[in-house]
Amino acid sequence: MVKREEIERLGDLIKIELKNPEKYVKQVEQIINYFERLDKLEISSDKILTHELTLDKLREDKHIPYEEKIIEKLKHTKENFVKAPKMI
Amino acid sequence: MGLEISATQYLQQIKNGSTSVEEYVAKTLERIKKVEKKVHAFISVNENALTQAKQVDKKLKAKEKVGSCFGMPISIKDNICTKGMKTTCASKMLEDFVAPYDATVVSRLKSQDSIIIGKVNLDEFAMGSTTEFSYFGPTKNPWNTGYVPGGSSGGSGVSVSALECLASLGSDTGGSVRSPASFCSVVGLKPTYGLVSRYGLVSFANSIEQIGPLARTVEDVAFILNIISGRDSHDNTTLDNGNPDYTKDLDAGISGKKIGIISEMIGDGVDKDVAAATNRAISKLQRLGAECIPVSIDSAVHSVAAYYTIASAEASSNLARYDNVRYGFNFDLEGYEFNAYISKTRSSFGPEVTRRMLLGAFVLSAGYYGKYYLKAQKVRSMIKSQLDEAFKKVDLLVAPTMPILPFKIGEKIDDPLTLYLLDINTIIANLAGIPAISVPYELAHGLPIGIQFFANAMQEKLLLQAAYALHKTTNLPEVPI
Amino acid sequence: MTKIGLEIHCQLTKLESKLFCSCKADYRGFEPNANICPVCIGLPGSLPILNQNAVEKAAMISIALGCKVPQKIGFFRKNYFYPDLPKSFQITQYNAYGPTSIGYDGKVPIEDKEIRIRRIQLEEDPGRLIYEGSSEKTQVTLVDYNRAGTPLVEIVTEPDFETPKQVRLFLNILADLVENLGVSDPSLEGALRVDGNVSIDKGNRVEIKNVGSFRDIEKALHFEITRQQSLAERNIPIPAETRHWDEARKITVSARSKEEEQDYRYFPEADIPTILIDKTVIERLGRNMPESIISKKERYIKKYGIPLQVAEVLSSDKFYSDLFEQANNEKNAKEIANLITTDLKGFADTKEQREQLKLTPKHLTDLADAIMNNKITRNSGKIALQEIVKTGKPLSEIISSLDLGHVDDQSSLSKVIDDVFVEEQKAVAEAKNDPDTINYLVGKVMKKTKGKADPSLTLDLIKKRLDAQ
Repeated sequence: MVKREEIERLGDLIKIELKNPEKYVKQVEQIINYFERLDKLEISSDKILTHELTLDKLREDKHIPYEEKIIEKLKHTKENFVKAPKMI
Repeated sequence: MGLEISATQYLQQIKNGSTSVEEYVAKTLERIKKVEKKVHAFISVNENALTQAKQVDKKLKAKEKVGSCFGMPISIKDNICTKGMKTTCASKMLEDFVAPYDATVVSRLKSQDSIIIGKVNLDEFAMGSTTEFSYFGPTKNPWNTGYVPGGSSGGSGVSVSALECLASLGSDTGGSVRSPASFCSVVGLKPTYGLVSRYGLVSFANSIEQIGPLARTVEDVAFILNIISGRDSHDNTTLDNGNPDYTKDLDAGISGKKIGIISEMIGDGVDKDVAAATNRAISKLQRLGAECIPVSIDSAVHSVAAYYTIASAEASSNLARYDNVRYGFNFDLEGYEFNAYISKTRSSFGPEVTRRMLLGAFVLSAGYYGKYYLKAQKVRSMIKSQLDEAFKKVDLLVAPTMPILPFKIGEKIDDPLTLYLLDINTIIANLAGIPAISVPYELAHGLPIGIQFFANAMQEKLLLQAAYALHKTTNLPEVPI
Repeated sequence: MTKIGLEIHCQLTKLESKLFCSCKADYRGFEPNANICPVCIGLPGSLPILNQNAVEKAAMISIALGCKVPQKIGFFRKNYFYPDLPKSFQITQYNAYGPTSIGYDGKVPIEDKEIRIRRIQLEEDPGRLIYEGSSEKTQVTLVDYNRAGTPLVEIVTEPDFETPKQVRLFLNILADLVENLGVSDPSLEGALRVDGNVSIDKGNRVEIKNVGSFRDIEKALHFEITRQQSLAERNIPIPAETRHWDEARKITVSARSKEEEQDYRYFPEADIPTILIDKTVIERLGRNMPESIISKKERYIKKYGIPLQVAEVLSSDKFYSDLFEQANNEKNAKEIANLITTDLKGFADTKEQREQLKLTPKHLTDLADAIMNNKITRNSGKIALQEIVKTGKPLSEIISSLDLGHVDDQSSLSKVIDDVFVEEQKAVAEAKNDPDTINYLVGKVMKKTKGKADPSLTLDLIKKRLDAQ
């Protein structure tokens, strides 16, 4: 049973202000109920698909300065800081 | 008109001088102007396209080296970064975002002298199967503009189908290249996971998605695949494919090949027109020399639940960075506290994206991880094992791409679960990481039906050969727009 | 019984590049947001590319701390929202579903105990926040992402420490270790950060964060233990919480209740495949690791006969031990060791001094040889060293320009002794009976020769002269 409080908790977890949480309650519940079939499924194998890479194929440790001044393409201040809302 | 030619034919015409790049691109831009009010495939059109076309012609005239695309106009789904042009992901959250870099696939195309003709529409952040969830409004099916074009790469499917470009790059997470390919009567390929670099593809479900080409012929798709595939140092998940030529031996045919018909995908729940067309396609394949036998992939019935669990989980994390602080849209933050500000800006996501992020947060929440997410990963592994077993008995698998015909715009938009279930035929390829292709086969009531082939990982050559063999037998009418 | 556990973050400042991109690992000295790229700032479409050297160095730290290194390591996402976290998740490691972090189950001996290492993980540092103006009036937070993506090794210990002193010893060993391995410079601000958790008598655990330096961690722990003990004495329950160290007031202050555990929704990072570390690779890393401090110390004592105190100073400082290894030729080892630990030490303590030092190993070798062969006295050696450190000129040049040459020929010495005997007649008279006064006379000769006189020869000559009188 997905309740409004649960939707509000999830909204807070992913930082989205939900203007009418009720709208999502029914739909999310319907989909979660559909997901329940996974829980009921009995799977004997614990195997999970993974991709693997050997250590020697990893990136070489080299300093390569990025050729563009990225900060100029983002919202920034005169002194090239990024402005964020205040933290309390 | 001349625009209905394939990309391959375009190359021939440029090389033998019967048309110039400028001429063709000018015609293309005119076509876009004419048709866009009816289909709305494009979010932005490249205003420098004609200038770039002239530059290619200049190189040709001066007998300088020109890349293999020879100025070919190609559209790019708007969730793939193009330097200097907006990449909006069809979302208010990225309304003003201009990427400072090109996706690897885009830089590879540009280095072969293709022209990016524009960025095309999608469901917001690639979440959807009808392109109705775009912040900029829906894209319409050119075969009947009251109908959906499929999704999420609807703009890709339509721009190719409506002759607004020669090819397009879309992205396929749960069927998002193949669904519009099927609904718009074009060819669309989802490559093996890792074959094509995701650097520059705005992440939605990063363990699943791949960029894939759409075009009007299989040969064109193979041509584009040659350019965009292969290991990329900017993407740790790319594989070494040995750089084969996918256009070579395309006409090898399928004589002697074993093709498995996925029984779960042609039973109940499949539209009778689609089922009939599929059966005709299977007979055709048999006449071409293939042995078609029924194959059961019974874990496929859990694929939608597994896919949406994993994809939502990844989406809730991949989209967490969009808070309008560094880039996004105009909304002053001064005076706001951090959590309050980002919660407010993030309420600008559309309903489908919001829904999936709520689901994703739910399945990853403390206490639920084993129940849903981990289980879904195990199901995924099970599906891959079953497919591996099947490919020991057959070379390819076949099924209809979509279980139903294209439907009216707005018809299913309030029923998310029903929309999710439309992915039932395409999703197993995404979960298992294997390649799959949709080939236009027939029309029913004027609406397109596509046939889908699957092959095992890294078997794109085999896949393209089967698609080529079947497509060659079709004789579809021109797009009515 | 007091139980203390530590969570230490060590930046791999000696790496060239960040953990997932090629921006510089050591972000210090850059203008704001001048050391960033699409990857470390988390732009749409960017992907992390793992640094091979970071994995190897983290593995070496794990081995040095006695940990097991798994053959398959994986990365996870820790999801939360904060202005310094550009992707709104940190790529880190997590062992809840099996050991996939770079090290686990290790131990470090200190004094008479063994501190167990629960796990070691590789992860990325977030950016830095700057608060504009005072915290009440500020309307915005300023963010600098230069640090975002810097490679971190997080070391988590079991709560095996019983006293703050043990913590300090452990941290000193760790600082020396990472410096010795060449992976980090712990003297850089923020390179080594420590959080602790403290509980007494099986009570609730209190986390202490925001401690600036090593010295402060000992103070903070002392304060916290006292605070908890005084609560316990009054039968007041100790709440489980996070407290911050207030640098100015030297107290811990409650930050947030530990009850509100954040839900980080950990799940595997699919953009980084599972990394396979072959057993042979782990063995090679172990073999190629620089010699440990303890092993160096023992070698210096055994092989060169260097006294314990000198060996301890020499081995625990990489700068000194490197110099020693390069300058000594076995015969002059003790002399070189002495020169470094007594004479050089005053000129080469700080980072700035070491950077400006003009001394080379050859200088030390030449100096040791000159002293051992009596070309100059030890006193002159001190003067010469000072000059070498400043100018870097060859020893021979310094000896002649400063006239430090040994005065060891009898005739010139005799002349000086004559002068001293004339000037110090009273002392000469006392010297016949008082050995101390003899030394006084030797000192006078040394002074007149600016330390160049051979002390034993001088003593000899003076004794003979006195006897003759």
